[in-house]
Amino acid sequence: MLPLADPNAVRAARLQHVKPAHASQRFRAPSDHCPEGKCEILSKADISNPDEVGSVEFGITCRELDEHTSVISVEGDLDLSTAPRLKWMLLDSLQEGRDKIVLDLSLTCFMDSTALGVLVVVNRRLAGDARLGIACDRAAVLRIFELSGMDGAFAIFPTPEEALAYLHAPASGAV
Amino acid sequence: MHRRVEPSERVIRMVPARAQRRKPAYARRRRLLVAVTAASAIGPLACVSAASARSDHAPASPASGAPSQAAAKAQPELPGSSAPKAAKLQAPPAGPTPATGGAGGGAAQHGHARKTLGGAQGKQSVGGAQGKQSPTAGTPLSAAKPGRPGAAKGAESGSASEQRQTHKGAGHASPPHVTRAKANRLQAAPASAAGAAAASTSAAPAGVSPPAPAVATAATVPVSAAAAASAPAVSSKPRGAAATRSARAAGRHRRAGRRAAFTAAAAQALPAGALLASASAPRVVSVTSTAPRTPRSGHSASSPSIVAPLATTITKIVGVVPTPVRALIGALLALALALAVRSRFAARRARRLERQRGQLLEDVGLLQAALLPVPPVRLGPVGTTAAYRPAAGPAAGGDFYDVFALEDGQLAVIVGDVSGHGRKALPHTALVRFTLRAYLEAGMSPRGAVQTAGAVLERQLGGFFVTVVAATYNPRTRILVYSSAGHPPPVIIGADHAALAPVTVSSSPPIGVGLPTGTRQSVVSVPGRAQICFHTDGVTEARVASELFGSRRLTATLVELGPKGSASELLDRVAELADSRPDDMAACLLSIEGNGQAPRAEREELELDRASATSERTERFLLSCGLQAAEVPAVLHIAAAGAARSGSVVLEVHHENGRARASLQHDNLSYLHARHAPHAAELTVSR
Repeated sequence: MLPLADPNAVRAARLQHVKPAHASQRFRAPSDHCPEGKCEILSKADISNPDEVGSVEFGITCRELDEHTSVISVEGDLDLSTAPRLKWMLLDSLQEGRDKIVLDLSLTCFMDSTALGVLVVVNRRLAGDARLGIACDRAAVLRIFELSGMDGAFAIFPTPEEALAYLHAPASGAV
Repeated sequence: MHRRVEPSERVIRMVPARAQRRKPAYARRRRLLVAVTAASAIGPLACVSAASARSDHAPASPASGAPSQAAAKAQPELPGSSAPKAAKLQAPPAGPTPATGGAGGGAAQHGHARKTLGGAQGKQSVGGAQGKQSPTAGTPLSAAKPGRPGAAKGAESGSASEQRQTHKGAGHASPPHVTRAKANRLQAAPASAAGAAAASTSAAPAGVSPPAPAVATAATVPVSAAAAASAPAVSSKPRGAAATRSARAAGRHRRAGRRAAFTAAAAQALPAGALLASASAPRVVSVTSTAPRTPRSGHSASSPSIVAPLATTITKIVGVVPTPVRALIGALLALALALAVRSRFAARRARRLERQRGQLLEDVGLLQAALLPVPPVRLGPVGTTAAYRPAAGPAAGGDFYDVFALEDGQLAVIVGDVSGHGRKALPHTALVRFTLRAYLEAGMSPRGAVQTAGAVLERQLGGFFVTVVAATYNPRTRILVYSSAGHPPPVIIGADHAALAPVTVSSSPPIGVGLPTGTRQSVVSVPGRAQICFHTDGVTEARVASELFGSRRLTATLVELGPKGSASELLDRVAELADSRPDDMAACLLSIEGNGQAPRAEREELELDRASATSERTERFLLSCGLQAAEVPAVLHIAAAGAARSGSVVLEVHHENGRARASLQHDNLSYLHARHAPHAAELTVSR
């Protein structure tokens, strides 16, 4: 298990859109998926009410695993006001050469058509070996993918590990 | 005595409080100054004009009650007065009222006037006239009696001597209020009431009297009239009050109009100086209306010399003002002027902009109507309503809908949402709507229309993507067919208030994302009463206390609205319940009548190509359609074979008698075939 970063430092970095120095070391395994009891919020929101939104403050972090791979985690709602931040983070990552991206939506409560549009745009920019794997196990978000008919267009996995495995797998078809 | 006094007192009291309040001492002084100057400098003519002016005002006050009565009484005695001619002359304009009385009044006034400087006479004359007019005023003429003698004398004499007489008369009969000052001076307190009469004899009545007579007097007996006129300015303050009051009342009595006109004519004839005096005179009346001040004013009036000190005082005051203050005042005036001009321009510009805004709104309304048509209230047996509410925020624009009848009697519905927002999305909105409409009108099935539009519009949307649902409803067969491209499926609620659960697995992606779309289509049988609500995601994504509005709330709201509910009512309700609406909302409601049978899914269609025929998604689709897990592999196998052979196949799952049955159609070019000529199933798989 990788050492956990100081939560305060991570939060501060998140607020400033600066990647924490230790970011590359911080990859959340499924087991330590929810530090500081965020799991409770998540599970409560998840189980009791799939329509619940805004229970978690929006935050977005980028962890660079290596020079080609980054993991972008989104916490909170992705909507008209927050989707642009995801867009720029994704596009920046692509521009920096990290073209294997895991988008971790495990802590995302809700996603609207604007966020979907962002994913569509990013998906189009993927060239060559570039890949975007989405990790999401929340029914509410998965349903949005399904309703929009975009679940077939993205590689969606229940966990970030599976998404990572997909990124590094030899060229093969989508899900 | 006291009783006699009463009426006149009442008159005074009745002077509008406003007049009393408003006129400060300096104003009074100024009026006085003007009046006196006018009287002294311009002389008789001015007086005349003043009188006429009064009369102008007076006509308005026909029935001023007590005072008028006094005048009226005075009249009968006056007939013998020297002014009869004048009266006669005036009579015609005055109308029914005995002109003589008025004339008499006027004459009497002259006498007074000189002595008092007062407008009292003017008023008197007026009063006389009025008395005639409103002899019926019916109040006791306590004051009148005393007045009579004075008036009569005045009429007779018309000279200085007469004035004295009048005074005496006044002393005797004086109505309390007015002439109190004079009375005091001339006679004792008891006389005050009587004294009032003299001056006031004329005075009290004067207030009441109509203008015409006064004018007439002026015209016929210029000198005397002039004297009378001059008087009012100064001494007749009480009367002035009465006059004003009566003038107010006058508004109600139109009869005086004629006289007023006459007076006006007379006034016109007067020289400029007279006009000036007249102009000032009416104000004097109101200014001096307060009773307590009367005495003083009476004094000053009687002695023009007082005016001079006043003038000098004012001059001194002005002289004392330091230059900087003057400059400041000047600057302030300039500033005020500038601001006034500016505000005027601003107001004009505001009006212009408002006008332009109105025009723009009209234009926008027209343009919007082109994008968001007003649906027919009913299409055959189906009630149709549609509505659109722009988002509260920056997302406005992008939703669209259309409801129209097809040639074969079917009803078509299009509801969609362009991913971009604002004005930039509008052209795409129109493009998609009309493209889909054209395909539906051409006879394509909803799926065919969406598929074709997806293929055609892909290049034209330039990065935008569009979610849309297209549907047709056949009132004869009661079959609803809809195809969605990344759009929420319609909410279908039957008579049992339960919403039909749509199959959302393997939904088609939106138009414009670079993927083949228009692959799914649902066929729903609506045998009974039902509400069908097509909507955009703005409705379900409105926020209610940190929750999405959601389809459950939407269903509940639709049930609550009932079959009579309209789309705009629905959106209003959603807006009411929601805390925030981040996106546009559009809704289109079909209200179908019928029995209590619940709607049911008749058929689900999914077009497959070689890749998707074997995908896990397709498997899930079959399962969610109600196919038994055991038969899914066989169906997939056959579908894959069909797709491999002809590129694509359409997988159909029928629901018959509670059972799902899968079948395959080689309908890969569905959009080239009209919906009326479906291909026969080549291969059917059933269990």
